[in-house]
Formats: sequence, C-alpha cells, structure tokens
Amino acid sequence: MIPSAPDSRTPRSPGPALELRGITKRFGPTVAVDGLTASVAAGELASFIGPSGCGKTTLLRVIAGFATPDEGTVLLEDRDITRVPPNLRPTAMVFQNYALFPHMTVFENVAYGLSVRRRPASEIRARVADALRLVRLEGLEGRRPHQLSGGQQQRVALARALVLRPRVLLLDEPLSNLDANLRIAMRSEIRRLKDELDLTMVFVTHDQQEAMSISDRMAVMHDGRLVQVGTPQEIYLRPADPFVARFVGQVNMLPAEVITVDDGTLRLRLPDGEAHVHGTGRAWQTGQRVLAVVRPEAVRIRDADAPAPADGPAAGARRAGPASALEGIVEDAEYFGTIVRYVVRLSASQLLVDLPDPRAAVLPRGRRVWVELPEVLHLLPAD
Amino acid sequence: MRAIGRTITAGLATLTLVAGFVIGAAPTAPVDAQARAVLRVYTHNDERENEFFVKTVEELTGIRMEIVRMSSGELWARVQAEKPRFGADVVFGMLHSTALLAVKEDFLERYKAPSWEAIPAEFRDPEGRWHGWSYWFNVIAVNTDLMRRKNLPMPKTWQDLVKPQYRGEIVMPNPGTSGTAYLAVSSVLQIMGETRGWQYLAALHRNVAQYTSSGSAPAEMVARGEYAMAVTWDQAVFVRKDRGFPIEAIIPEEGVGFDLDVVWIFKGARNLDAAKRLVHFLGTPAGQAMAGKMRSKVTRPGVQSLVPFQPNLIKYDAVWAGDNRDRIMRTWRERFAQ
Amino acid sequence: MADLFQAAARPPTAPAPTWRQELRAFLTEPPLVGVTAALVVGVVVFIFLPIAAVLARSLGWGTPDGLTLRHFQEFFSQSYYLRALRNSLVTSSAATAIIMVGGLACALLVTRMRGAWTGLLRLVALLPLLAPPFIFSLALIILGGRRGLIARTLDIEFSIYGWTGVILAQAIAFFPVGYMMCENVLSARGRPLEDAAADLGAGAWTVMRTITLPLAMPGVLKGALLVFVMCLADFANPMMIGRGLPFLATESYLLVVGQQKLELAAVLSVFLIVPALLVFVVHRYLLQERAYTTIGGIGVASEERPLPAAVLIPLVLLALAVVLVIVSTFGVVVATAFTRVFGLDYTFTLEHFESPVGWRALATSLRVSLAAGFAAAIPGIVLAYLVARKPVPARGALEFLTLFGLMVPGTVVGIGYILAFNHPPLLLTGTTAILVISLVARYVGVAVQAGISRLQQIDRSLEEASLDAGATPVTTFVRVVAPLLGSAFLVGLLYAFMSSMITISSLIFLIAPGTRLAAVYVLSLAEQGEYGLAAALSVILIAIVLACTLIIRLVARRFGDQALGM
Repeated sequence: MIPSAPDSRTPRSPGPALELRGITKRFGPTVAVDGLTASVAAGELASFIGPSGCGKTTLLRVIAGFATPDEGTVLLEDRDITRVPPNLRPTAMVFQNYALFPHMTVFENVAYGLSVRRRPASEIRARVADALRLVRLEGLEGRRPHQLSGGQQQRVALARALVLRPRVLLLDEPLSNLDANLRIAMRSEIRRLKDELDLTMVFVTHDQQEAMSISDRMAVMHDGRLVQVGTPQEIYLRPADPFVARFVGQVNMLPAEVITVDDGTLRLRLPDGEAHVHGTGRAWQTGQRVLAVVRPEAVRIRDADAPAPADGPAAGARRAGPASALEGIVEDAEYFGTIVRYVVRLSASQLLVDLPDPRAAVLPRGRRVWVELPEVLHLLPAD
Repeated sequence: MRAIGRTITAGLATLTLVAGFVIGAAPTAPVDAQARAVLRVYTHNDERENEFFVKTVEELTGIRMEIVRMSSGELWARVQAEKPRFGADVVFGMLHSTALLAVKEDFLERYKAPSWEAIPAEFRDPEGRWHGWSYWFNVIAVNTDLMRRKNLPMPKTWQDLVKPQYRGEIVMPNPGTSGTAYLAVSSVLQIMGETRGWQYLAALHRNVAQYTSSGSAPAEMVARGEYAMAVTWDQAVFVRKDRGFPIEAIIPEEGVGFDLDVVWIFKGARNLDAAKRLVHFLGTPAGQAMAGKMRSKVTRPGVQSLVPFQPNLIKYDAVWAGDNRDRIMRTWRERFAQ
Repeated sequence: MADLFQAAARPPTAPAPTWRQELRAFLTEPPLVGVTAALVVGVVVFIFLPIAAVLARSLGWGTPDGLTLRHFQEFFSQSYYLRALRNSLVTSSAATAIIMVGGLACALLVTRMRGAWTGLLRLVALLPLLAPPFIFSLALIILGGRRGLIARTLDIEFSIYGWTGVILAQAIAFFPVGYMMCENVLSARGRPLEDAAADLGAGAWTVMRTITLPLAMPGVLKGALLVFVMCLADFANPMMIGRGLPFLATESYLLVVGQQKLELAAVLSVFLIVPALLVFVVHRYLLQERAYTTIGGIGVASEERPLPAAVLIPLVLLALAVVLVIVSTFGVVVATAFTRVFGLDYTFTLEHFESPVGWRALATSLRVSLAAGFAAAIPGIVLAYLVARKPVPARGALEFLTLFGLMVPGTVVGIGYILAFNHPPLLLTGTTAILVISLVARYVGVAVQAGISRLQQIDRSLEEASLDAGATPVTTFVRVVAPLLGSAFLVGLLYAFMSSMITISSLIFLIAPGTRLAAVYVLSLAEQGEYGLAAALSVILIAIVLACTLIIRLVARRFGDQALGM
C-alpha cells in the first residue's frame, strides 16, 4: 500500500505544506521537543536552527516518521501523518552522512525508492536520469559511493531524495561534512533546485550562517521550544531574546537604562556614557532597564589621534546627535582579511567592533579611538 | 486483523526457512527405497567387522544396514533407556547374556528363520527370539618382543597374571562398558567361585596399568608394545598378528569363557521384513561364511571359520551371567573404579 | 572468530527511548513481531530448555524421588567423582597455561615481525582448528606411547598416558583459540605506547615487560578463561589418553551412555556449566575493555621495529616448539593414514581409505554440517539485527541465550537434548533434525555476534534512508541490511560448518542408525585401536573442512568485493 509517488506539479492545497501542532517528544525524563507548533508554507525553505541538543534533529525525525511524538500532530497538506510509518510518508530526507547504500551503484541508490514502489523500469531510468541531471552527476551512474568525492556523494543523496518528488524535502545538516568552499557552492545549488522544482524544504542545521544564507524563514530552537521564527533579516537584526541574538552571530549586549522617551527617540544611559538612539523592539518607557543589541559591524570606529576630517569625531562626540560616540582604547585587533575585529575597552565595558574593507593600516593596541553606535538600536528588556 | 495475519505469516515464514535447512539435512530416499530396505542396526561388533558386514550384507541381500556401534555395556544401557520405543530394528552382534535379559524383559520379536533349522539348538532360542551366529572367547594377548626384552616369562594361567613381576604391564578393558571385560570377569567368577574370584580380581587390579573402554583396544596396545600383556578377545589378537605385529594369543589353562554372539529383532521393529531377512541370511551357509571370515568360530556346522582348533572353553553359564550382571558390575565399579 | 565475548560497545546515540516507547514501536511492526516470536520460541525451546532440563534433573526434578539434593550428596560422598573434578581442573589449568604461553609467543612474532614465515607460523597455529580435537590423542599415543616413536628412537621407558597426555592433547587441540585471542589483543593496538616507552628510554625487554604484556593482560586472561572452559568440556581426549582416570566431562558421558544415570550425569554437568557461566560473566561484565587499553589509539601506522635478539630468541624457541608439536602430530596422522601399519610396516597403501561405513558417515557429516551452517547463520543474522536495531523487548536476554549455547559444554547440550526431546510432543531423538538443531543451538551465537559487530559499523541512517525512500521494514532488511551483513553471515556459516564437521561432544549422545557422523566414527575407530582407518578418515575430514573453508572464503572475497567495494 505505497501511495503513488506524489508529484509536486499537482495543484497545491491552500493551507501550509507542513504544519506541526503542539509536538512533544520525550525520551525518559528528557524532553527533546516541548509543545512545538510551527508551519511551513508551500514552496518555502524553512530552516530549524539551534545549538546541539536543542531538539531540531528530533523534530526532523518526527516529520520524517522515525520518531512518533508523545503529543501533537504532524499535518502534511492538511493530512494527519503523525502515525504514518516513514515508508508511507511523502517526505524524503537527505541525511547528514548521506546514508548512501555502499553496496549499490549511484544509479541503484537513486532508483531505490522508485524500485521499492515497483515502478516500471523505463520510468525508473528516465526519472533517475532526470534527477542525476538536476544534481549534475550525469555519467557517474555506475560508480559506487566510495568512488565519489564528498560533494558528489552529497549530490547523490539529494538526487535520491528528489527523484521521489517529495511533498517536503527534509535536509539534516546536509552540508556539515563538506569543506568550506564546497559548502557555499552547495548552498546555492540547493536554492537553485528549490526554485527550479518549486520544492518545500525543511532544513536543519546548527550553522547560523548557512541557515541565513539559504532560508526563506528560519526558526531558532532552544531546549525543545521555538524561540523565534522569522526571515533571516528579522532574526539577525531583531532577535527576540539574548539567546537568539548571541546564537545568530557576534553581538555586543549593552545594559542600559531609558532616560527619556521622545517620539521613538530614546536617551539611554550606558555604563560608558549616554546615547541617543532610535529604539526598536517595542514601546519603551522612561526608567526601563534594557539590553541594547549592537552588532559589531554596525559600530563605526575612528582613530582619535588621526587628523580629524571635516566632521571630526571629536565634534560628533560632543554634539548631541542621533548617533552616539564613546571614547575607548584598542585592546586587541584580529585581522580576518574581509574585516578587522577590534576589541575596544571603554570606560566600564568593552565592545566588539568590525571594521569592513580594512585596506587602511590596522590600528595598534593602545590606540585611542572613538566608537560610534548606530542610530537605530534593537533593544531587549533586561530581565 | 491484518496485522495479526502479517505477524503470523512472518513467524511462519521464519520457521519454514529454518526448518527447511534442518529437514533438508535428512537423507533423501533412494529411488529404489522399496527394493533396498534400510535396516537400523545396533551392534557391538568391531568397526572393522562392520565395514565388511555392511558391504557384504548389502551385496548379497540388498539390505542396507545403518549401524550404530557401541560397546555392549553402552548398547544395553541404551536399549533400556529407549524401551519400549527402540531406536533400531535389530541388534546384530551382542552378548548372549543380554539376550537372555531381553527375553525376560520381553523386548524381542519371535521369528524362526528356516535357515536356522540346520544349526544346533543350543545356539538359538527355542522360540526364535535370538539366534547365535558366532562365538568368541577371551584370550590373553602378549607382545612376544616385549616379553623377551623385559625378560618376562609367558603366562600360562589366569593365576599367573597376578605375579608381581607383571605389575604395570597388563592392560584390560573396563567391564562397565566392555562385553569382553564382562565375559572375562564373569568367567573368572564362574571358574574360581565368587569369593576367590573377587580376591583374584583384586590382585589382578594391582597389576593392571590401565582399563580401556573398548575390548579390542588392549590388543592394539599390546600389538604396539605399549604393554606386554592384555585381557582381550580372540580376533582382536589374530587380526593384529596377521598384520605383522609381534603378538600372540594365550588361552589360560583354567580355560576361558566364550560368548555366543547373537542377533535379535526388537518388538515394534519398523522394518520387520528386512530384519527377518537378515536373521535368515545369517543362518544360511552364505551368511555363516561371511561371519566366518571375521570370527574364530561360527555356529553352523561345517562352515569354515578363522580358528580351526577347538579352544579350551569353560562351560560358560550365560544365564547366570545375565542374572547377576547388575550386581557384578556394581561390585566391580565400587571396588576397582579408580 | 573475532572476540565474541566483547560486550558490544554501543556508541551513544540520541537519548534512549523508554521501554514503553520501545514496546509500542515494537508492536507497530507486525512482521517484526512474527519473526521475533518464531526466533524466541526457537531459542527458548532449543537452547534454554535442554540446559534447564539438565539443571532440573540434577536436582531430581522429573524423577520419582522429586526434588532432592541426594544426587549432589552422592557426588560429594564419592571420592571417585571428586578425583574426576581434581583431574579435570589440574589438566585444564596446565593445558591452558601451555596454550597461553605458546599463543602469546606466536602472536607476538606474527604481529611484530615481518616476512612470509610469520604467515606460515600463523597457519600452523590455526591448523588444529581443522581436525577433530581428539585425533591429537591418537597422534600422541603413536608418538609418545610406551613404545611410541619417541620411546623407541631414544630407547627410554616413557609413557604419555594420564595427565601428561591429556594436557598435551588439549594444549594442541585448543591452541588456535588461545592463539587467536592473543593475536587479537596484540595486533597494533599498543604500538604507539610501545614507541613512546622506547622513546623514553626503555629497552626492548623493559618495553615488553612494562608496556606490551600489561596492556595485553586483560585480553590474554579472557582468552585463558575461554580456553580453560573448552579444556574442561573436552571429553574425548581424556577418554583416549587419560589412562582410565576419571575426568568430569568423560564421566558424565560414561554415566549417560554406560549406565543411564542421568541424574548423576546432570550433577557432573553442573560442574561444567558453572565455570562456563562464570567465564561468561567475567568476560562480559568484569573484563570489559579497560579504559587504558584504548588510549593507545588505533590504526596509527608506526614504523615496525624488529624485536631485538634478547626478546626474539626465546619467542622463536617457544614458537618452534609449538610448530614442531603441531606439525609432527599432523604428520603422524597423515603418515598413519597412508602406511600399512605405522611403526611397523611403512609400505604405502590406500587400504585404510576403503571404508564404506566411513564414507557414508562422511556424507552424513557433510550434509548435517552444511544444513547446520545455514540454519545457524540465517536466524543468527536476523537475531543480530533484531537485537542490535529493533525495539525487541528483553533483547539482552535473547542475545545472552544465544551466547550461552556457545559457552555450555557440548556434553551438557547432548544430555539436555536427551532429557528434553525424548518424548512426545518433542520426540526428536533418532532423527537427523536433532543433530542439526543441536548444532545450530550451539553455534548460532557466532553469527549473532558477527552480525552485531558488523551492524555497529553500519550507520542506522542507511536503514532510515531506505524507509524514507518508501521501502517497508522487511524490504529494508532484505535489500539494504542483509547484503551489508554478508560478511557476518559467512563468518557465522563458516564457523558453524567447520565446528559441526569436527565436533562430537553433543552429537555422540544423539546419533542413531543412519545418522552416524564421521567425527563420531573416527572416535569409535580410535578407541578400538583401528588407527589406520581412524587416521584415514581424519585426513579426509580435514581435507573436506579445509576445502569447504577455502571455497567459502573465496566466495566471500568475491561477494565482499561486490558488496563493499573493498
């Protein structure tokens, strides 16, 4: 009783492609997934990210059918598939280690799902050829997995899943075993495939950069719960809490107190001085204690001893403007090629500052600098 | 319901698969199964004899014998354990005394084969429950080389064997398993009487280097010069003498016991027809000639056997030997088992 | 046969599901439930039941007297049986010591030296695996009897019967087991640590004394325990060369076949089971790989440093002694098979090969052993899969039972089968089936262990990928798992086949007219002093085992090539 292979070209139902309602999965006393609700729209690439142990892989296994949730429902195009065994689900998964069958050729691996569905040989041949063309592996049909490079194995794993035209393609850290360059290439490859085939994809990774570069929407998980769902920009720029803020990239979290509120412009008291900013996050009130989320690349840095340009930093610092400049000393500088990352010691705290395109000489340690916070700051309540 | 069906199907499939291999090992019936009946045989005959008997019986009668060879002690133990569902159709080659016990226990099928009319009545059961097809007797085997090298005098009597100079040079089978040994022990008890007999066996025990489970093994040891002397049986020595070993058989002056080697059919034999044909064949001149190629004496008058002379045999009381078997064996085990 | 008793070091995976979750998952797969039920019934009926029957019988259960300790009292009140206990313990310990010393020496040479001769040494060390264990008694009698080759050549009074003979015969017969365990422990593992010790200034002897041997010790001890149990369970060698002295296994055999005293035989069997069980427990739970044995890391291909003469010479001398003994015993068997009367008339002859009964027994052996090989390997692999991968309830106990069949002495299994299967509804005695089943019961554990350790190398995601692609659990097993378990299947098949060809201990209780096996026939011939026939049949037996082993190996290599691209 294997359902006929779903075809992604058939018209979609109006609802979300995949919906998770109140999923809870326990292993003994451990709660791996805790009452999680989420949905993935058709044609969307949604990624679940989080540190290891956050429950993202368990969640993916619940979707694939390798784990049955203790509570909750998995709906695929409005059909309840919570208790459908994995082999009867119209999902396909790309495994972290690819899980290629070592005793089968590339062709046999890709053909496997069709062959267990007893598709006619001619159809199998055609569809496998299509799938291999899609992942650009024509001509390697006769090879065995161990004769392929890591990237090629990855493509076979993709083709093996794609050939089934799944309603939802599940990817479990699919790029983690590739080297850096290959990983970047495969990201765009996966996006290309998604667009070309109009696929719905669920992607699981612990790599925030990967998730941001590839996803339409991302969901950050922590301790089995969803912490935040949104576009990569939303997650990066307006994290819902300090955990998300830290998880998706380098960040300065500056404790502050709101001194005055004036039509969206806030005066903040920082440990190292005051700042006038445009606060986002919610409506803030005077006297509230907040955390200012400051991404290092949003901070500007200037050499305090250098000859001042027309609107010199010293002037800017003295001027009460929307941008706030603070004085500090370079404590450390790391040169990355694309940026220089400075650790600047302020009077009471320290600040990470990324200076992009560092063609100028790197400022030496001990140099006095001005750092300038961005005009718009994302604030979180400090509790 | 479907789930239960699939459970059962999977279980049965597994069982069938494994059972297929298990049963696959069973011998495939020959095409002419009917014509060449398979006869299940227990015997205490030596393996070398069995090789010859199996081949000859099959050639001359078409009966295919499947044999399990045991020492007579083991054979009798097995028969008793299996009663009343015996694992064999016939016993071809066993002690006369156990045949008498088997009659008492009513294990045996009656069959008066026509060929046996010509064989003296003393060699068969009047009701045809057992037939004695040959007889054999104890001998003392000596290695002539070793005796000379060790400067030992040849023993002439049973009594000689307990001389201290033979200490550690005698090997003897274990009456617990071996019919040869039981014949020797029960003969000694008959010749000397129980009291003196047990004293004699105790003295002999001091000289015995080791007890073997098989009655023929001591002959092989003496033949190879492992030990100088052995208590064994006639053909075990003669066969090895023919092969060129420096071995001789000595019949002690007091005389030796002999045992009729019998064939019987079990009640409930699966292949009764072939069993009867075997018993009949063993009484025919051809059958007796076959036996005579392996045995010193056969029971049909005028059929040639290996020993032309008449050995010095005592009048062995097989009935007494059968009746007292358990008691004698128990006593022996208690006194001499090491 | 890798280390069968190493408890599977299961890699930590996702948090373990609770037993409730497992049970629910188990019940959702009907075919799984069916297969499991069938195999569990098989394991319980054919492994657990007979051994339980022996234990029960030793307590008088099922006899008119009812439950009683009388039979144990009888055992302890008779010095005869206590002597049997002592003889068995003494000879088994001595044989074990000899095996482990010789095995260590050979294994050190094979793992630490290079050259074709090490391969040859290894071959000789494994040679006794091919032959029924008791033919070494026969060879020793011919060689070392009071007028054997040695006594005659040196013209000395010398007898090998008794303890000496039993110890030597068992030392040869079970040498390969000890050797393999030593080789297993020594191969490569401690090399980096040895290098480090040398680097820190330790001399060759010091390295061996302070690093190599201490590292190998737990493994060697394991091997010694295993060998000890095998010696204890051996009944044929003491019977042939023990000068009629009582030994536990021999007496339990004679009590059954000679006197039908099943209760007392069961009591003796208990003394054989207990050490086997102890060894099993020690193996599995106490001698778990100590942490330090794994620190050295694996597969670090360090430059091999030839052993210096101070170490090499004693090792080579020991190994030479081993080679000399093994080769000469085999040589004697072959020579006896082809000469008219070995020791007297050395004319070449083939007359010992004219043995219609023997050839028939060989055919039966081959048939039974092949059947046992397959019938052990197939459910063995399936059991391995169930135990290692499926949420089968009480799978630990299931695995334990399959291993138990392997550890319990053959005589005990034989007695257990007589007790359990001699009446309806399980009236199996006298059939070929009972021979095959008893062999499967004894050797299925090897296939299970081979399967489990192979499965540990195969990532679970392969099966999930197959399920995910739409294959049913059954299809997944057939198309993905089974092909990958090919090598384990062959190990299980080969071991069960080889052992079945040469074992007698359990079978000797079960043979019936028409099911006589070659090894049992050889023992009967040897007991009656028909050395020529016995040797000839042994030579054929060895040749068949060797040929089948080579064929299966060849097939395996091909199969392995295709399956794994190795």
